[in-house]
Amino acid sequence: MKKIFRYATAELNGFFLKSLYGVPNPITEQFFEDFEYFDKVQFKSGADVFAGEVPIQDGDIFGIAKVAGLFPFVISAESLSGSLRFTQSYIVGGRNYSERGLFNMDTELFEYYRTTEEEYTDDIATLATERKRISFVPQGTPILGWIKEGVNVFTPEGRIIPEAIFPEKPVDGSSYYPYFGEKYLFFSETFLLTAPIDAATTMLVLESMQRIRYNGISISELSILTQLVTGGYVSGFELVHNGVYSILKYRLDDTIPIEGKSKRQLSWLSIMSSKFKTIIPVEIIT
Amino acid sequence: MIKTYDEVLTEVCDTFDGFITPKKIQRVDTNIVYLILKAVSKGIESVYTIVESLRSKFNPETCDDEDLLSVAKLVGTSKIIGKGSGLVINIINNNAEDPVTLEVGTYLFKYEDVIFAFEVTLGIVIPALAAAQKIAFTTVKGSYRVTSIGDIQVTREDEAPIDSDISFSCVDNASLLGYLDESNYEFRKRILNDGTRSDSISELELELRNLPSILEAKVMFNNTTVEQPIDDFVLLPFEMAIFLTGDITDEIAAIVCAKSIYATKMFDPAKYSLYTSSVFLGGQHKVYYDNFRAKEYDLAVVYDYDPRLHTPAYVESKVAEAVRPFVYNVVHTPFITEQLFYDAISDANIASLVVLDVTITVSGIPVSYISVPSSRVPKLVTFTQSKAV
Repeated sequence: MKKIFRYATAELNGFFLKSLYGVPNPITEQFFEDFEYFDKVQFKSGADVFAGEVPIQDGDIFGIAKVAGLFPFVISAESLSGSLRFTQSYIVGGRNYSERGLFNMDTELFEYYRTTEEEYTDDIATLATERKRISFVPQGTPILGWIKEGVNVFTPEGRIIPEAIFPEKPVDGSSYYPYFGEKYLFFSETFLLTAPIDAATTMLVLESMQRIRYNGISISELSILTQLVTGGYVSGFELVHNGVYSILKYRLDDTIPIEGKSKRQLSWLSIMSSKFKTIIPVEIIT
Repeated sequence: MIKTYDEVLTEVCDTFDGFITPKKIQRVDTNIVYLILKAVSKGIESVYTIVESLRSKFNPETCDDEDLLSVAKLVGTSKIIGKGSGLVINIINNNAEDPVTLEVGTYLFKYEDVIFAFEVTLGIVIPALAAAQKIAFTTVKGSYRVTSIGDIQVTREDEAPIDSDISFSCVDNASLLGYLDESNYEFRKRILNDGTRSDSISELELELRNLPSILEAKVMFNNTTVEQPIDDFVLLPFEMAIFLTGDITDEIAAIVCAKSIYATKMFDPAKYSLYTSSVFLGGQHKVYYDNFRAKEYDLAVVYDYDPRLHTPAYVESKVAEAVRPFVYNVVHTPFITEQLFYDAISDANIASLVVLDVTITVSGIPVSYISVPSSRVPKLVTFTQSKAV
């Protein structure tokens, strides 16, 4: 019986909360953003929302994931900043333009410029930015600082720590390397970073885990979640049965323009390990 | 930030005073305006509380219990359900010549205000001078201990008479004791600390454990291509070992096979649950299991207390009662540490008692802690206690 009255007084349907948001007063105005968030929030990331919707906040994603049993795990990924990278030859109209490439830090792919010009007035390096970096440092590029041997100059996410760059050459006999700025890739071996996976990837992993929880494991679910988490980066499946277990051979498609390829692959491998117990994924390197 | 009602009321009254300055409102309950401001303050306090609650709604560390259960329901995370205590009841045919049938129905045994019930769905035919067994469970959740009794009174729920040639007895139920539902506090703690919950083997374990007739379940899986020695057995590559306590039904096989068709380790060819499906040769697949073994240990506790407050007999009985759950334990815990016993005896709230020393021994050898494999349940065998000299 009580519920009828509680409904009439709007306790059960959020009417009061929506009213607080729709008709703010000096008290509720300070919480306008909070009310707006809960009125419009959708379980979507920033890129997927429509007008009138608000993407779910990172903290909320991590909280929901934790309740579901998914803890933000730490993964190893290739550093994007310090990498020696090789490409295939880039030939247009019979002419080799391989040197006119800039590395896109977001899509993790090389992009080529001025491929219609046989001669150009200035170096391709003038087009380089922090997000589209060039490997070669043109002669005469000013040195912005010095990197001392043994000093860690990268954050766990691979960003430069400005305070770690020395303004002068070290005088204690340590080795050093000139720093020309973030427009340039470093000539160093690829090294692994450890970093927690971000909220966007967590959301994809959570969605995949929940699909499995409700639909069970199957080859079709495996295909769906692979596309969901890796966006096509992991592909080329070949399943080989081996008695009580199966080997899933897969390839990595580097032409797919998505961000965070390494962490997506590692997230996918984590899902495989926790859900598909009798399938061993094996990468085929061509 | 949450403001208390008094802080809000003070702010509101100060603001009102600002409107009527240089006058000030009388802040007494006989002032109607003050009463109105109190009502407004109550509303404002509610808004602050609502906002704070909304901000932490999806944070399992700080959200309230209702929100935690709501989010858990959304994502399919469930509490560990409590169980009634089990009791093995022997059904004896005392007729020296003829078989007897225990008819279909629900049978009840009452022991100290607790009712144990078992159901017969197909008449049980018992040969002359033979016995059959059924496991009865209490109708309420919790731990209810019954020792072996040679002759017990069992009645039918519909009060119909039972064949006079049939008598009943029961077996000590120390290994079938139930427990209460996971509390909200325990649920929250598990959510925050158990990082394996999303693993499909952990999910399977919880599903099995939440079956009404299963008191404890553990599942081990070898996901490597080499044999793995575990405890006193070996798990083959991609083989699963299931350990259960309770009444085994074919529902267990259905739950396991719903995850995947695993090869399960056969400890005893007679211990299996059957999954029926036409896709299998013979139309069925056996899911093997084994019962938990015990990891036995002994315990010695030294304590001190004010002898003016308690008699030695009182203290000894209270301390023994505090550690009794460890004697009749049916639940797997990964570690047995001294801290468990410090906490258990402290929770007995014996005034002035201080635990000075806890010594755990395994096969006579003192250890600082015991690591319990998933195939075993820790059992306290010998408990000694003494007052410090």
